[in-house]
Amino acid sequence: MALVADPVYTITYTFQDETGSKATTQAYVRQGLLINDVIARANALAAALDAVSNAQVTGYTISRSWTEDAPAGAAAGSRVERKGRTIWLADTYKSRIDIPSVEPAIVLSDGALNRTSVQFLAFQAVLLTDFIGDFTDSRGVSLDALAAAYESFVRTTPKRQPTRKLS
Amino acid sequence: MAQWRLRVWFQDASGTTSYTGAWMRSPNETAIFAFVDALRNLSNAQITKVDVYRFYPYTSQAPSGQDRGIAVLVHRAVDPFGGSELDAYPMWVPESSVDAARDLWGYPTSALGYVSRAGYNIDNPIFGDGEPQSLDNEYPDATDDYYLVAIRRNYWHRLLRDARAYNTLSMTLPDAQARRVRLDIRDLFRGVPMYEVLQRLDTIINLIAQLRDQQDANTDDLESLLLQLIELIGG
Repeated sequence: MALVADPVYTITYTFQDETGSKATTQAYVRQGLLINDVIARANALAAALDAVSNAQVTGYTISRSWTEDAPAGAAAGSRVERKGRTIWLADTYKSRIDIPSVEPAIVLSDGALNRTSVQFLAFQAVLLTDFIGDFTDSRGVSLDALAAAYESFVRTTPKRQPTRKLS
Repeated sequence: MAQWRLRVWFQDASGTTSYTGAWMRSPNETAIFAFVDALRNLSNAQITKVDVYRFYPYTSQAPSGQDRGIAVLVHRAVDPFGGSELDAYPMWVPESSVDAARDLWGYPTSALGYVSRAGYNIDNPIFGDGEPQSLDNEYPDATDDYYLVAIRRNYWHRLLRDARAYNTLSMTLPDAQARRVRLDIRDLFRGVPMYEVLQRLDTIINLIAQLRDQQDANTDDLESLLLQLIELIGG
């Protein structure tokens, strides 16, 4: 059981013509290069594509993926609609990270997640202390505190959320 | 998107999939795997896939043109150790023409780490090395370093018109490339298998030949096949 890296970084270029219609094309760069080198190559090819197309190159997406070669198997009764919802603070802004099919053992009877559990402490450490500066909100501000952690469902409206959201 | 978006994909016992995501300043592999391991212990669903991506805006020219033109390039890709030809890398360049697309092959970055989707080296395409081939003039042969499959300006119309030529082309290429070309042509048809289109085109062409040779050809069949073809390509 391991996450196997795809052999390439995929670079997807987005074009737009004068009517607003969009199209994409893809190029691939091998794994193993530093990300800054990948970005440099992607940018250089963007310039080349811009030169050979009369559409506008609006940008490019660099992506990389890993596939589980032997998934462990989902537990009986697991449902991804049942989320462990965690809200993190980045300065005063909030950023949400859901845990699909949260392990029932870490959900307390009132709906809050047990944040003193070993599993949750490990998760919190990854986001806040083990890799300082790596995990951010969408603006790029580092996560710095936990604001809430509770069980929620895909269809749960704010009024139906647990009363206690932080154990 | 000014940050990297990390997504972790889950599948539950019912087979339903879902993902969760986090924002990252850089695609730090150690941090990604630590995040995934932490999630693995918090969920009773299985993790099937992880990906990370970021969009980079690019300041480009104002667009001009709306003819849906497309240039299709196919580079050969080789084993980085043995040098044998294993794969091909097709690239669609929207709103482009043959002369312009040829310039791309001479671009130095093409030789710097670009690979096919399976990770094989794209053979160094040196500008002027080998004459690019087009369906508009002649078919490529095995001595070409890379192939230009087709140039499309009035795209759908000419794709249909040249469908038989595509088929001929795919048979002239080495097996690995031919398969890739066929797959990509199939994708162009948005999931419609190319052989279905080719079969119908062949039948239509035969019927047209019959029409030319004999006056009592079945024109109902011809009309029916044309309608099927239009339906197949989503027209």
